[in-house]
Amino acid sequence: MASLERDAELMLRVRDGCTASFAILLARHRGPVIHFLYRMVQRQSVAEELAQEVFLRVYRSRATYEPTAKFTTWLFRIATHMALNWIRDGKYEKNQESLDPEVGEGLSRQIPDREATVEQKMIREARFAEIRQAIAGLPEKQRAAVLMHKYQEMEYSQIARALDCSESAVKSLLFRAYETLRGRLAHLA
Amino acid sequence: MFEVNRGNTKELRECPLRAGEENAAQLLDYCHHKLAPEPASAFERHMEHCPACRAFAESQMAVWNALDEFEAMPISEDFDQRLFARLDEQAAPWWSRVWNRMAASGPRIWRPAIPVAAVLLLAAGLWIHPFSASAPPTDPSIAKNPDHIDTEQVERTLEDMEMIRQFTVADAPNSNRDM
Ligand SMILES: [Zn+2]
Repeated sequence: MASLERDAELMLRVRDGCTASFAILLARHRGPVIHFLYRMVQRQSVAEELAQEVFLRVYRSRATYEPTAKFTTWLFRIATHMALNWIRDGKYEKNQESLDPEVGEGLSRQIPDREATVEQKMIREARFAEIRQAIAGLPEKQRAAVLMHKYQEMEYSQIARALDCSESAVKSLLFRAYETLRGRLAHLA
Repeated sequence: MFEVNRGNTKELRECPLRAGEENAAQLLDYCHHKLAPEPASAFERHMEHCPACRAFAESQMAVWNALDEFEAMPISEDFDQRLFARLDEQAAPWWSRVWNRMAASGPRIWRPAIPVAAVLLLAAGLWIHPFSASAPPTDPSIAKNPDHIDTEQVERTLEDMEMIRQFTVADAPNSNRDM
């Protein structure tokens, strides 16, 4: 709770012209925002570019900022908006073919253990690809809901605000999304 | 929500899988260990007699664990640097940004015209605001008075304000719960 209050406090200081407070907010939320966007668009360079836009918008909006909601909810609303716009602009489909090299490169960087055999690495990469494709196959709003629910551990009410819909709509989105994922990924247990 | 008292324990009134998507979301909470102890026990007692819910819980837990393998990628080391450079650039007056972009774009046929245009722009700036052109701000915090000629900035701000306005209106009734 204290850190939530501190986020809003910091943002109010940013509103009053304190750029150091903005740097603290950036350090605290840069990772979660970029990781969320990466899982949404599945391309690291695009995720970082969208995240730059998110933080630019946060900074530009400082003068009108009011702490009516949790800072992270507001932040993820902007991030979701950016990701959905990018996907709806059709850039997602255009980038599908070029996804694999970057993801493959990222995966090898993520698994530093030298003891894993070639076979183990191949299995892990196949599982990773399967999970990534299952997420990518979800309709974009379901995808955003699952990512906020699973990786950001956001409450239904927060996801509802980020997606601009009701809590019951979020529950339905999640139920349908996990239903699809169970169909595709339950065998990975 | 879907419990009924039976002696000292609470039992589920009906199978949550048949109670609509919203109620079934409680099954998700159970699978992710987010359900309070009492409804969780009620659900466990229900599962003893309901193979459908048992299968649901098993596969949902498998999916939940599998999703942990979707790790994010490392973030570029110069992410903050790039962001602050953009903030600095936006804080600079519009004529300075035009100048920087033109200067960065390499030799072009119009390059000889740059100094002439810059002098004209500077003269126009001094004529309109005799004091503002003396010290171009580089600190983002100084960007409190955006140049009114910059239509791109105006459009962006309007867009941002609209997003915030929608957000504030949508949040107003629940604002205390989330703080
Ligand atoms: Zn059941």
